Amino acid sequence: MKLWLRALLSTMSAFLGVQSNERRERDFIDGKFPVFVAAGITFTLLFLLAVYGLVQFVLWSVD
Amino acid sequence: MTKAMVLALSLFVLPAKADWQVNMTQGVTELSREIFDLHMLIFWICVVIGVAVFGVMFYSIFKHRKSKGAVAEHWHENTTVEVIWTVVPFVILISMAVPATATLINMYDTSEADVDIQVTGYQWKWRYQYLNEDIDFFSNLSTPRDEINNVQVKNSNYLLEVDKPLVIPVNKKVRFLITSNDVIHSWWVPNFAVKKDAIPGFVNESWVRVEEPGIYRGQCTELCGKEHGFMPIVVEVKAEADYARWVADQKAMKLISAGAASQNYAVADLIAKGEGVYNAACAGCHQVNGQGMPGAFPAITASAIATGPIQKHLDIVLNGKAGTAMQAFKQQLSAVDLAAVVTFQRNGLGNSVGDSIQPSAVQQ
Ligand code: HEC
Ligand SMILES: [Cu+2]
Repeated sequence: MKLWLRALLSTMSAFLGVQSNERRERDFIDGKFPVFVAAGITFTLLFLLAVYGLVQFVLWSVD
Repeated sequence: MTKAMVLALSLFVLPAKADWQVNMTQGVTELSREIFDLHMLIFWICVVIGVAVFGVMFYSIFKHRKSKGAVAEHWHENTTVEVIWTVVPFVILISMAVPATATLINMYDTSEADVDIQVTGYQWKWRYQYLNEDIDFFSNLSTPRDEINNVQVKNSNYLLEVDKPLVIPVNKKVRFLITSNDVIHSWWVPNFAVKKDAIPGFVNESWVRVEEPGIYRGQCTELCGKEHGFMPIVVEVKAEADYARWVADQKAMKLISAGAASQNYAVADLIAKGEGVYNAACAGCHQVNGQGMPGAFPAITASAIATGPIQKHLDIVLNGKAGTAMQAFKQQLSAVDLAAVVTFQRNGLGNSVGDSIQPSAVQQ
């Protein structure tokens, strides 16, 4: 698997709060720190956008 | 236990049970019932979850007990199970959020109100200003001090009664703009399901549409100082015609009190009236006997101001003293009440200055 794809998957698991030990160890052996930071920031922004969008959608749908 | 004993015991238990309300108030508005139903729905969801989780837990503890030879399994992780116990609560929470959001949106929709009332918290009373009418008054606790001090028997509305209740019309959308003059208070009427903080410098909004005329009572629910428990809320909900009459009466009374302020009063009348005003508006701090509370509220008895020049005395009562608990009473009391309370303080509570002031002089 591509390095960035694996970082993406691991970040997704982190958002859910579940990760297997095997994947965690692999991330620490041949993962790259900046890639995880970038994935983390991207996911946080996506999450904020999703919450914002959901609220806007709900408010719009009741009007 | 004999039948007679059961009967005797139930005599104690039954009336007590009637007074015992453990659950949330259902209230008298559509919104309050909606909130109540939501509360019950979520309560039962929690009960089901609780019974299921503890049921499985207690069953497992019992079934796999050591005396039956159970051996604990040792394993580190199970991603599937972990994902399930994360996703299931997530789904439950979201499904509870759907009805809750609908109610919340309704609660916050203060648009298109028929009546707008500004509610301002003071230490320790409420002020109600009807924004579309020229009505503005304070609502003070009216429970006699003697009941509070255990000298007199307490009545059934003890600490839940005021001199002038807030009056609103039935079946109309009434919007409250809630704020505070000093510290944070909170305006709470359980039957309306309205509980909003009154914060100095902020205006919080809330609304009700009450379906039944009646008297509803509430309290300040934000610890706001010494008399926090002594600033209740009473709302009188009137039928539309009665409300219109009340509004007209308020306006007529305003004219009458303006007329009253231009009359001259006998000193004895001022003193007698002033004692009533003092007990209602001042005694909470300065005490009924005028001794105050050392360190917090000065005594009026032998006070330099209350026995000195009358203009200075009047000035502190009218304008208060910034940065202290002594508020400005200019807007809280009528000219007649102000003249009366100042005259009383100078000639009662152990003082005998001998002078007096007329309402007409206060107005200037
Ligand atoms: C919330 C508490 C509170 C209430 C209610 C209150 N006062 Fe005061 N009052 C004070 C405090 C505190 C001071 C002292 C202010 C200062 O630091 O000079 C004061 C001072 C005074 C003084 C000057 C006394 C002196 O010797 O310094 C007078 C007169 C007075 N109040 C009259 C009244 C009257 C009349 C009322 C009712 C209409 C009233 N007060 C209600 C708290 C209160
Ligand atoms: Cu309060």
